[in-house]
Amino acid sequence: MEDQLIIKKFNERSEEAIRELSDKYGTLCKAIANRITGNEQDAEECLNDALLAVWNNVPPESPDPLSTYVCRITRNLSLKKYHANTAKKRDTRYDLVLEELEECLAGDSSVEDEILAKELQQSMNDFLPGLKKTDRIIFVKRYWFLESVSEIADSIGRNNNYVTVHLHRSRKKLEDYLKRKGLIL
Amino acid sequence: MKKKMIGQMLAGMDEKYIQEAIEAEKTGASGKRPAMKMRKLAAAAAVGVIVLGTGVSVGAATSDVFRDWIRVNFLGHEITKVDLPSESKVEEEKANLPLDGDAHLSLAENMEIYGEKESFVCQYHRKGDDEVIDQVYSVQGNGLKKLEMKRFQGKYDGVDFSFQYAIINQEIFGFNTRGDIDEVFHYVDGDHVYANLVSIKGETYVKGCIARLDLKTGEVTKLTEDNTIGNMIMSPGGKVILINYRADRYWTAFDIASGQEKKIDEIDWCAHTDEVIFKGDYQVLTWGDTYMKNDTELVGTKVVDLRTGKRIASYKECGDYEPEWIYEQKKGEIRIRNVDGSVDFSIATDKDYKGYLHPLSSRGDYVLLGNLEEQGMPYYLCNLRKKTYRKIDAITGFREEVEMYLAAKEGKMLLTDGKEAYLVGMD
Repeated sequence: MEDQLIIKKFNERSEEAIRELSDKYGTLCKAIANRITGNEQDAEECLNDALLAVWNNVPPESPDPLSTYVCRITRNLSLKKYHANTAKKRDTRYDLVLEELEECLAGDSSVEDEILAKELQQSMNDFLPGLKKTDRIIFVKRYWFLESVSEIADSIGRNNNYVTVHLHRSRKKLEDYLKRKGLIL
Repeated sequence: MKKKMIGQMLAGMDEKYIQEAIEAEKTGASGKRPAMKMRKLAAAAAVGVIVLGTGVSVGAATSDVFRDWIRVNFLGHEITKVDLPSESKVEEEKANLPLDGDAHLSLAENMEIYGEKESFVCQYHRKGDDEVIDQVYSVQGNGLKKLEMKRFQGKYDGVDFSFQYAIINQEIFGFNTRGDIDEVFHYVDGDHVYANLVSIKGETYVKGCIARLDLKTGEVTKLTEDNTIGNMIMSPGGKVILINYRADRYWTAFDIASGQEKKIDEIDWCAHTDEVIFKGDYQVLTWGDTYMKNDTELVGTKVVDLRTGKRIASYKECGDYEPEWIYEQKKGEIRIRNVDGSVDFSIATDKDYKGYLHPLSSRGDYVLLGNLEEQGMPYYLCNLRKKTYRKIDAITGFREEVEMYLAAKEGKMLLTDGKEAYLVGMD
């Protein structure tokens, strides 16, 4: 079903909207939740919470695109769950992915944390357009969707080496970019 | 940097990049090919048109700024204003279009440029999701010349297909395809051209072949079996068609003269058609071996002979943007090298250049370096063989988009602001 029709059903308060949303984006969202929480049950819970959040927010909101909207809600809810459980889970894919970036951005920050966080968010969005489209997609799949190297390789029809090499290059570019911006030393 | 910071940085990622990744999954835009083959939306992919960044100031939105920018940046070079008639006037014109006239056509909105070596400048309109090409021009010394458009109609196992075409020298551009045809290959061999005929049910390719088409008699001759379903590229001189059978994970080289198809194991099945670069008709440069250096996995390139299927050269490096070329940016310069070491030179760049300089467009020996995200920064147009370059200042104080196209064979750039178009000599 087209996204606009799903939104229409939400606006009509038809419960079919949730079913259609789940059919269309449920697998994608659950995969994101699973990668972050590392737990099937938690992932299922996050997905259900995300669907409920969409039900509560639409209307008045009318998200376009719907896909990123529901993915972002799922990701945020999953991170919340992850942080709540963080003491007992230190080896989730979310951890591993952050460590991968942490390694390349190892320099000390040059500004206060709070300011830095905002600057970094903007910098990321300024940095991404400078990557080749394929590299950008690989980067986003890895660090936002938390997909494994082989999942990415499979989805873009390349081998693991290709993805690994290109991720490495993108991380290096990000490091250089943030250094030039003075955000890391 | 702390993990929490990195998490926050990622959390703020713009919707459009997330959407792009989701879309890539659905459409294969990230380079993914479905099990069989991607259906092309248009007759062929438009080539090499780039949109130079729009100015940010609220300066005059007239073409005066555009004209001045061209004069300043291309001083001493041949500059020709190209005027195109309006749609109604197209019918009246015969050969070369006039250099002066009042009825301008917005190139930015309905012009595209296609072609392997030649430049087919196409005027089109949209019909639903389809692009319908109405007129095709070639780049001439003093403007654009209208090309004769012909039509070919044939049958693939009894099912109709057709396309329109225009020819410049030994290159054909097939467009407005209908029915069981996927692609008309670029090379014109006397009265013959070659095409990829396909039969599709829903999203699935049920059969496909390479066929020879006689433009004079309309005869269609199958050159391969009906199981030839893959992504294809033709060599520059039209001798060989490389076929990537992604579902079965291999490449073959189909020799048109002998009709023999040879499996080429040396080409990585994952490589896409833009990662296999023809060096003449019988050799290609493509992905090479991966190796470790300072705990980093790197990939090289290799040259494969298509007649023997053997690797004949290996190189340690592979370019980020095109396999053949390495661009190394340092403060105040960018070094440009060919992986085989035959070309190596540096060009001076602005010391405080922000962002990454990278190829925006390349055609033949020419490459345009720049970064569209960095407002106000210059571009560098390089001739890789002559090892020369020219700096082109960014356009500022201008609100329209400026499109640029490199017509390599003619040694010209086509520049347009959507209202006016100019042909400028590159050397």
